[in-house]
Amino acid sequence: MISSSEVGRAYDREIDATLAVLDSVQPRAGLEQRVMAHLEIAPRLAWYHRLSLAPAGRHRWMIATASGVIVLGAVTIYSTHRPPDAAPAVTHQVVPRPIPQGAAPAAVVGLNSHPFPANIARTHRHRGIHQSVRAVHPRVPLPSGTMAPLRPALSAAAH
Amino acid sequence: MGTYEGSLTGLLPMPENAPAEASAPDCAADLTALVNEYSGTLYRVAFSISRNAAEAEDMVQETFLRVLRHRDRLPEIRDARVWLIRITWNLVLDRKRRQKTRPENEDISELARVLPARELRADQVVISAQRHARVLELIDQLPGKERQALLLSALDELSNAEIASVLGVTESSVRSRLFRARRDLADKLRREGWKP
Repeated sequence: MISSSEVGRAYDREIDATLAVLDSVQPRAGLEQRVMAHLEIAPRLAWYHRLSLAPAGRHRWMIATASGVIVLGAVTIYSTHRPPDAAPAVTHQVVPRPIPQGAAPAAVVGLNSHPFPANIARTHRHRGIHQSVRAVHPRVPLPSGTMAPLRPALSAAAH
Repeated sequence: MGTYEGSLTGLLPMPENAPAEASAPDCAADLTALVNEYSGTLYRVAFSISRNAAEAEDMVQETFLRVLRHRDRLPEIRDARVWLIRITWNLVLDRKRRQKTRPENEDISELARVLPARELRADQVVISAQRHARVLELIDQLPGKERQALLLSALDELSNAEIASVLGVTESSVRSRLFRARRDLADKLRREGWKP
């Protein structure tokens, strides 16, 4: 019966035999000449060839850093040399609604161009009159005499 | 001056910080001597990890390319052999890590080629090569630190102290890793029902 120590030694011999095979491996003939030939042409390679031959680890970081610097520089240059903002175009003009024939002119101009006259009596009873004059476009002329007083007398409306 | 030294002389630009006495012909001669003396050792170091002849040769060339780039450090190197082995070792480990899947290109034929054929018939050579390949597969399943110590110990020319220098650990750490590697490998062989 084989003892466990003998089995263990047998396994050790098996392992040693395999490791000895690794130590016996020989390169193809002429390795030294091929290496020297490669070293001879290495200095003549363009920088991008050398870059492609080099291990990727360190050069990959350098390329990433350089790319980041270039992008950052381009963004900075663009943002500092951007043309000044042009004057915004006029997209909306407030044109007062034409006064229909025979109708009384609106007491207040520019109350959101509401078709119905303001219920002044009602609003006056509860809260007073809140009138606001919307600022119309300066190029649109206001009809003459259409500016309403901002605060009509409260006593007159209450009676 | 041999052919290769002469061809290198005109092609090696001297770095600015190179000492005055280190001339280009000296560097070229040193490099040629290193190539002639250590190419085989470095090939075996690379092959122990890659198990592929073409990759191992690539690693040897890449090692000496590195040496060419850092040739100004050559006069400072005390032990060129360990230095070169460390470069090759790190290069081949880097390449191994970048390979996502286990390569299908392991060279059993390379193992068969180096077996002592005079004692075995051809079919026995193949069987023996397959057994060794299986043991190497089990070695690959060991934890990384133990596997590396075991594979470096395969090189007869490396002592435990030199293995420790290559791995960047202490000599006692190398011994304990070797002990655990052999114990774990024997367990794996036993579980497979391996008959020695």
